Amino acid sequence: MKFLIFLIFLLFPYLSFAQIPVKEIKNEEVWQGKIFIDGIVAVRNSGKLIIKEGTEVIFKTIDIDDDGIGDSELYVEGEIYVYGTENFPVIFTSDKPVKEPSQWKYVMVNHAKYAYFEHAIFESAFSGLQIHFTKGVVKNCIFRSNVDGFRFSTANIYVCNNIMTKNKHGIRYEERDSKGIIEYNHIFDNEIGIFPVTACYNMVIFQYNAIEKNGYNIKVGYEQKKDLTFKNNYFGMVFERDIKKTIYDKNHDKHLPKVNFKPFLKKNILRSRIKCLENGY
Amino acid sequence: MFRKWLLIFLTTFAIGLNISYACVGKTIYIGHISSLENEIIGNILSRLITERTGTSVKLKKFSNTNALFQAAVNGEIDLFMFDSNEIKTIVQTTDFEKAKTDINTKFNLVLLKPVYETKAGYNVPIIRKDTLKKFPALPRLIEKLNGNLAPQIISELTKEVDRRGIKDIVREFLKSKNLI
Repeated sequence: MKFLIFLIFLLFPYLSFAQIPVKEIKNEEVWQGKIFIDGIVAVRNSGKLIIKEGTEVIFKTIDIDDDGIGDSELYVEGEIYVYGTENFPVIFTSDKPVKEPSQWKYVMVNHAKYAYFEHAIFESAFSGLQIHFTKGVVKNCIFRSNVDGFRFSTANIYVCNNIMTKNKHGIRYEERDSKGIIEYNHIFDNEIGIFPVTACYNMVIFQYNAIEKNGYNIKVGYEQKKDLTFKNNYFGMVFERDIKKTIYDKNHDKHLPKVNFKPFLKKNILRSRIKCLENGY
Repeated sequence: MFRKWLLIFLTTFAIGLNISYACVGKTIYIGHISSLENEIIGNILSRLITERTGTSVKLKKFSNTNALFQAAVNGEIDLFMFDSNEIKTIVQTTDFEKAKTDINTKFNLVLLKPVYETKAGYNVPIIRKDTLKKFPALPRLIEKLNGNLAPQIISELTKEVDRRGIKDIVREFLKSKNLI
């Protein structure tokens, strides 16, 4: 009897998933044109997904578990290469005409072999893109109208020249064992520009970004312990005292660590020179 | 032997499925009595926790204090506010310190520091022991409401609800206190 109860306990998450259709990709697959995702598409460890320029990946809005977050998702354990171009970006979006956050779940890259995203647009998701335990490059993408635009933890990442706007959090991260560079991104009009939640140790370098006009440009999570460094970024202001007001750290709550943002840029560098590394980090 | 292998297979299977489930994040369930005042307090707690820790929070309404308390004991909710006198009634003592210990040992619930004084007692946040283990920073965060909430303030917020929604009022209140 105990054994039976334990089995039911183990399978409980599966029971709620049972109704969500899952399609698996175990070999190389190329997407172009319009692709509809109704449920979960999982690129398994042996799989490789290439998405060509101009492709629209449309996630059906379903919420079987009724948690307010759409259930359709793209889950990657193998490799993913997204090759949008400036004129023909790849779009990850919902099937709804009016785009709102959480209509679909996310593109989740987790314990994967490699991830490359160039000129992609992520909109109306819970998290546009999440990268965990994976090496990845994210360049020239747009993250808009999501709860979390871009989210990562324990990743080796190069994130350059992206736009994060109209999200609850432009970038949300738990650094843990991550390393990498986040540079030349324009992070504006989000509730929170950057949200370091916890376990951040300054191993991911934020530099030459324009982080401006957000509810808070940076908000430190309550469980974050170490002081954080965000040097050489532009905050849309030229006076230190004004910038401080846009950063929720020790100045707002004595239990939080400090954010060191000096020296800061007094001009928006994105208007003059952007040099993303060719092959990433 | 068959049972052992079946168990190993299913455990692996279940863990695999949980990966996707887990990455939306942990969720804390807050319970409250079905009244406007309590709904406002629940929303204040919810907003404070979710904004400061990034954790998802969901609210659950209950028709009376017994159902609310029982839901916490059963693990349907993680956190709720309760009147100190009701706590004493449940564990049948007049001594609040003894009530605190009894609640902990009998029901696996932990009383946090009272948030504000009511007419005849205190309004006290109560959290499940297992939730506290997962979120050890919560007591210190919730304590920040201490001195910022009072029956008079809640009454003022209640009057505002008709003009604007609860969410906006709660957000503005927490912002005005520099809590989010």
